[in-house]
Amino acid sequence: MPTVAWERGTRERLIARDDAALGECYDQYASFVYGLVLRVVRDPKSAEDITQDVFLGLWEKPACFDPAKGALRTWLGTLAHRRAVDHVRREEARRRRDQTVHSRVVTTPDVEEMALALMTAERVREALELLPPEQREAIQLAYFDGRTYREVAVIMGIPEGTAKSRLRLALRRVAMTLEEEDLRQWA
Amino acid sequence: MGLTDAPEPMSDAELRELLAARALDASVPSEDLQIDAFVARDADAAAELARLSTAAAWIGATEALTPPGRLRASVLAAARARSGAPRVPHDDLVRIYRRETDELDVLVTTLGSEDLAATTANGLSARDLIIHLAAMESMVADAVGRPVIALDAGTDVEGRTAAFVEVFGIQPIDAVLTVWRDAIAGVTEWAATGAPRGLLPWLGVEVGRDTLLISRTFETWIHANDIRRAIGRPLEHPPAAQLHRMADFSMRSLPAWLDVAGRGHPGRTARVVLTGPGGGTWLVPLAADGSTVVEAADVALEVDLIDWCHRVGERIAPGAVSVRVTGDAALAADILEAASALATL
Repeated sequence: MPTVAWERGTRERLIARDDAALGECYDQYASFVYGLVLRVVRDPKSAEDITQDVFLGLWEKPACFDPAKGALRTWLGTLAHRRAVDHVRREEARRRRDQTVHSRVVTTPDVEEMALALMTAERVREALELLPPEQREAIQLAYFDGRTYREVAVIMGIPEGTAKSRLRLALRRVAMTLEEEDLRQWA
Repeated sequence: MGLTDAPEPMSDAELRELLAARALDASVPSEDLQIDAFVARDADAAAELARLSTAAAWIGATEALTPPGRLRASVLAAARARSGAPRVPHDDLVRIYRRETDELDVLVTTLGSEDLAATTANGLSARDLIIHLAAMESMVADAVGRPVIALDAGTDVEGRTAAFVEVFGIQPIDAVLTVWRDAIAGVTEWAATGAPRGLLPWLGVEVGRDTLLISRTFETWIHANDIRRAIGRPLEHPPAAQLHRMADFSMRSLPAWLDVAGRGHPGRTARVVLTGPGGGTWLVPLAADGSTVVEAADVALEVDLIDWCHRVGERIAPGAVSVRVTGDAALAADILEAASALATL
């Protein structure tokens, strides 16, 4: 399981331009990054391009990742999501088609890490399903469809303040789920 | 780079309400600078954004999916192509040089137009200080045979900086950042793979590879903190191990610096104790004449390591250094005077 020490060491190796460290990061997190990006952009080729950009971003600016401020998973996820949303907004992709779901079998060099990640992701999925429908819809629109909170408000026919609070309540609920499950080692 | 038109200023309470949207990348781009600035100055907001960003990333993890097998090779090939081959492991000095330049790069990417206009300790705006760094780094790149810009700006520090400001002061900051980054890449490649063992001409003296790297590291760190100070952000310091490496270098160089400053004392010795993270104790000969150090030092100085480094970087005057001296006070004064010799390189 990745630890802060592992992440610090990897960061130093990346700063030293050790490409084996990049390969390890890829093996550990490529499924996470690619799956997230594909979910947002709904286009496998674009998802590959953005996934590559994310890992090259880590390669070129490893110091941007600060282990003291959060986990590498969070850092990569934030970068991946931001680039995916930028892509969607740039392309003005308002409609997306369903993709054939590929196998969810994930191969990484750290089986334990991935098993825990899958388990945690399942908890988060359950937490999302337990959200009030209006909060779940707000998250769907904002996170997976790349809408701003203002657009969420217009689409849902609610004031902007309500859109902001729905997003906040939903995200805090997920954060609490992670904490209640004593999963803060991931944070 | 935050050069978009600024929206109406928001209160902290309004900005706090936007943290979840920011974590989900659902905030409005024109408001992001204000949110990011708020997070930079409010520790609670930073903690909340980190917590919510972690939650957002885990929402993304519910979609994990194995990418096509070819992508791995593609990523690694692109990474190798961007950095040039061959690769060799970096030694400590290259690593800390890259760490400090990367840290400054991170800082620069968070600066808005108001930040860039802020006045720093030496009177330059943050923007002009970044331009100065590009002027200096590109001069190093020239000196090591990796030129990055066809601009006849000379090698006088002030003249070169002025020439760069004239060219880049009216351009978006990204233009000069490209020069700066290219120069760093060139210096790194030279230091890692092709650095000669001999001396290089640098600002009127001849210096070795290590001196060049450490002086660039010091200057980059000092100027990064100049910018942080100018825009009201907390100062940041390198990790203890790096500070120790930098302090050790300064101690090994001190005899030569004393000679350069005309303050050498052949046959005499100082015990310098640097306190705080990365600190240690050094016995230092007070001239570069090959004298052996003696345990019974003529003078002992105890200084906070950060203060010492700031003195080396000439950010505090000799008289402003908080130092405990035992023994010959005149020797201590000469040491503190000469300590900033590196800053002139």
